[in-house]
Amino acid sequence: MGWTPTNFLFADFINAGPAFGGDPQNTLPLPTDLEDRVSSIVSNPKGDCAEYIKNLLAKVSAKYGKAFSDDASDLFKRVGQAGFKLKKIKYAGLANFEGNRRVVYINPGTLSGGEDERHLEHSRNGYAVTALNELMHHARNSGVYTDAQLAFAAFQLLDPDEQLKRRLPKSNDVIANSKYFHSLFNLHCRSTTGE
Amino acid sequence: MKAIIPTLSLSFLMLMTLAPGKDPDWRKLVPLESTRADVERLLGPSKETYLADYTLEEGNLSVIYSSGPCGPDRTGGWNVPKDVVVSLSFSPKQKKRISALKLSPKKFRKVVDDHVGGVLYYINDEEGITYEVQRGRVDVVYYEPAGRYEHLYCGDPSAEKKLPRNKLKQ
Repeated sequence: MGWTPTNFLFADFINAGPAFGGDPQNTLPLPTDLEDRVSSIVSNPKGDCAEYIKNLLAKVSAKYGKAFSDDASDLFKRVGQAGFKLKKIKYAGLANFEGNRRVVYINPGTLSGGEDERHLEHSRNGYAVTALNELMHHARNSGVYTDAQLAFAAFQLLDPDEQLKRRLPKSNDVIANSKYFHSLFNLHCRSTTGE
Repeated sequence: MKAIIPTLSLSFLMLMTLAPGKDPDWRKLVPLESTRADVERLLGPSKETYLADYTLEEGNLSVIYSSGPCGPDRTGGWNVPKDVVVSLSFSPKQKKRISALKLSPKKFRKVVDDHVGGVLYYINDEEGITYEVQRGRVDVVYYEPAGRYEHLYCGDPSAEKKLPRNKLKQ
């Protein structure tokens, strides 16, 4: 079974899809043009991703510490293409460190061999969506922004009607905060091959 | 609804050691007991509907207010009237070492954030206090409702079907 496009709609949250490894030969590799794909999401006219990132990072940095940049391209370059790695993890993505170096682990998508190019493109863009989500954690100049911090910033950007419907989870519930933040983020930063 | 609890618990005393200073004594504010009126009397008014941010000498304080009781169209939150304080978070300017607080392991459980590297939590469920720690230093302190109020939590039905809350690696 292939990596379903819906997996990355909850990028960074529990990966409920069938993408937990398998034969490495059937793993969809990270695209070498990952940075371009991330840029395409940021500039996707179907969303307001670039502006949302600026507003989000303005909120989170005002309270929790300076951001390195509010430009996704700068954030990508700080991690570097080599810093994005496929690794079997229980989330779609994970912002981490190897020594002092910033890395992003992305859960690999597996292939059955029967996928057409359109499906593969969608899955490659799924990697880029996950990468962009994780870059928000790495956007802090020193250290990381946690899910609770980003969830609070995302909450601040909602209008009162939306705040009423989407109440913040408890701050120490990492999974709930991750789901809260990333689901809101993905409303604004969409794959170029999504609906 | 009690306005402000005059007694200071052990954890609140520890917090005073974390950030002593000249700011109004916001540590008197207690989730699910204090109200917006209590907060604004102490720290000044806020234009936001369900939250308030205050820049203090010692750091940044945020207050979240209830939007009202639980309802079928809402997830999360607490079953209390509108404008009751449901949580506070404080990001100190001086990031002190967690070891300096000498937290009792009997009262605080240590949780590793398995989603964002390098982040630890020290959680006191009974008192509703969480220290978020990065590189050994306290980055944020969260004040949630004490454990005795757990029955008032509205919950997140969609999340609870998938995973229990706080199901994290220790």
